[in-house]
Amino acid sequence: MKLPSFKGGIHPPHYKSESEHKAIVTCPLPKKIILPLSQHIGAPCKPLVEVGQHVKAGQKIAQAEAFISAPIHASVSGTVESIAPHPHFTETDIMSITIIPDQEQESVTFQEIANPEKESIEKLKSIVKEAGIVGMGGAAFPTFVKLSPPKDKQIDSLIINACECEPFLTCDHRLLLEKTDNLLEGINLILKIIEAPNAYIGIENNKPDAINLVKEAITSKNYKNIQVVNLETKYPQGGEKQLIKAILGREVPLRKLPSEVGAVVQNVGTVVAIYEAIKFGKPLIERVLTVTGPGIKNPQNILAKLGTPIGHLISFCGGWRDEPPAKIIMGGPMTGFAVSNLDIPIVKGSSGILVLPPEMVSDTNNYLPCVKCGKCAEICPMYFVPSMIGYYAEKKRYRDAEEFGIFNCIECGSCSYICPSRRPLIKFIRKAKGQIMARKK
Amino acid sequence: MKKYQLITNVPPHIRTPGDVSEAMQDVIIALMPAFLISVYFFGLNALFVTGICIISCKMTEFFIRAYLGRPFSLNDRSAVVTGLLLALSLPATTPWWLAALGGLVAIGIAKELFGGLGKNIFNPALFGRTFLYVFTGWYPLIDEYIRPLWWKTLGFSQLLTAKFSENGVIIADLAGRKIDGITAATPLAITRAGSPVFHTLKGYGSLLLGNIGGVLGGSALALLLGAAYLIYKGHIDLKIPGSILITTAILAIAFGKDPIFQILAGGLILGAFFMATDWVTSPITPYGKIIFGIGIGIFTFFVRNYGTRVEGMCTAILHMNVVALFIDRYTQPRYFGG
Repeated sequence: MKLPSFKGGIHPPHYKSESEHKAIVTCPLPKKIILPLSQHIGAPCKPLVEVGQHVKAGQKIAQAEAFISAPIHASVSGTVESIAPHPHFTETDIMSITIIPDQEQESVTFQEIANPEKESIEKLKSIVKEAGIVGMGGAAFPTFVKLSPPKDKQIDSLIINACECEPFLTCDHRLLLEKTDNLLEGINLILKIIEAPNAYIGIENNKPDAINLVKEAITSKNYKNIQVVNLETKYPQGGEKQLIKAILGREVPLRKLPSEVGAVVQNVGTVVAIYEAIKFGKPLIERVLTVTGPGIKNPQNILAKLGTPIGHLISFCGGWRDEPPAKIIMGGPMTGFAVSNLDIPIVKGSSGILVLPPEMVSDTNNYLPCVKCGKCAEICPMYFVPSMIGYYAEKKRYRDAEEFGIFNCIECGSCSYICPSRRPLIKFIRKAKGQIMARKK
Repeated sequence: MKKYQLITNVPPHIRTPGDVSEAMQDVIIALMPAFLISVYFFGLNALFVTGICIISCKMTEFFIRAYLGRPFSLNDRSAVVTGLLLALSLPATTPWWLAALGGLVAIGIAKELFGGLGKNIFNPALFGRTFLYVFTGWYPLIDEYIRPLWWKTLGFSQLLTAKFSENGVIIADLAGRKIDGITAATPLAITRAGSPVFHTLKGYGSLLLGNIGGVLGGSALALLLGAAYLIYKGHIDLKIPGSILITTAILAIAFGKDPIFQILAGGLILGAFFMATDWVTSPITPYGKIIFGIGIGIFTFFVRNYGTRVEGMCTAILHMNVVALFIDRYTQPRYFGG
């Protein structure tokens, strides 16, 4: 039987076996916590604390007035050491609050709610907003915005993105196994917030244990409105538009949001965070991520405080396996950011740290001209011809690049992955997008 | 910890293992059955012509790249593919200097002067072949081809000492004794000359095997075997060759010709599966590929059956090469959500 899927896509090796069977472990506190004031898409936050001030874990330390933004909370208790630019995974320095953790580790009292089902929708939404929750699959879009679709759009489906289509990453897989009940209760809360009748949990078929476990939990709790969808293992199955197509068979129109076709998509980690925020009053101060890759001694799924430096997580996993790595990536191998500095902290959207040894790293400056093999056009999940756009982008023919759909590109990286000429298409496309936007201003 | 340098670049950070030179190697593997069967039917001449073509292509590439200062590190093996394809589209009787000239034109003009790998408009091998046919129009290569298995009629000593006529056909041994029955007309030429239907002469089996007068790449069966390998490897799909074959069959039936003969003869299989599917010179878009194939099918059918020469496939592909980029521009697929 053919499993539900989307058209196009690629089949990279999974690389998940190193960490998928390892239970989540908690990382000890680092010597320093660095919290960038921009951990989300939208306006950066303004600090609410001063240098030298003592903060408690869970205390709000920064927020913004803008609608699309998310407040930031201290992930540990300790003293604010500095508020200054600090290296960030995007390879630019970003204003960050540095906290030196103390011994006591005091926490603010979290406001528990015994029966969240009885609260008003507005109350629940404001809890999610105040908890600083953003999309934890990597995009880091403020979650309460997604939970507030336009009034004129009827939402009939909540889709839980549990595909984890990026190779190497296994943190969502572990959450499905270890936080199953929280996930299901979180789904029911979101269904109430967005006033939708049905929820679908999309899981790729390379996680049969998770599929079975979640299905059993749904049956035992008798949740008739939640359904597990067994999806083909294919990248980018977890792309928002691709996932909606695979599960509901609906195509989100160009330049429109999922609410256009009556869907809201949330990542597994986000749902668990929403549940914890509403039920226990806990803001987003820690997350589960996978620290893995052939260059690391002991790959693990780790629960770590936000702001933990990459270097601390790597030491916790035993350090390098043999030789120093050639590349360290924040996120997955298809869309993650290669970082140059081990002081860079993990943020709300960090789903993994990948350590790649030299033999897995190729030189992106050594590429051939396009041979028009058409493999990229065959696999492009947005159905355009990446090679043509890449060519126009490289030659700075921006008008042509726009005509052939450069702004439809979701930058999944499938075309660069498949290209036999090793062309860095995503690099060309990103640069061209930036140039076109700059010209339009 | 030891000192180390972290590389930072744009994602994706993993790549598929296959690259251009691997794909080219697959094309070379796919052409091996056709090459080997040509050596069986046409003897050492086939080996000789193929060798000259490949060496000529490779040397031309080397010297032009050296002259233009293009990098050699990008060894993509495509010149070997061009040489092989050129050889398979020439008769075994092609003299060495003509084969070498073909390779020189194919790589030198059709490929490197257009900008090298990926930039050429014309299929290099076909460009080189057409050049030979136009430039040496006086040269009776067209209708008089060497007869397959000719070498079986000669003794070993005769083979070693055989003399080529001015048109490259072995006509006499060294002692000057004339050898008869070595040349043969191509099947297409036979039917054009008004002979009865082809299969009463030889049968489809010979066409499939390549046991006919013609170019080296005459064995439909060997070529299809190679094409199946390329399809399995995902380098080509059936859109272009399929639409060529279907168009040819429909036209043949409509105009009262034998469709199977039209498909198997005249290098149609070689052209459809190995030349028209050339990545660089064919369209990328799905509809574009089908339009491209239909265009080649129509062009070929009328030129070979009603034109002044039987060279339909070759010219058809070259003409469609010209419009491939335009076809791509106007057959953009529907975008997701568009």
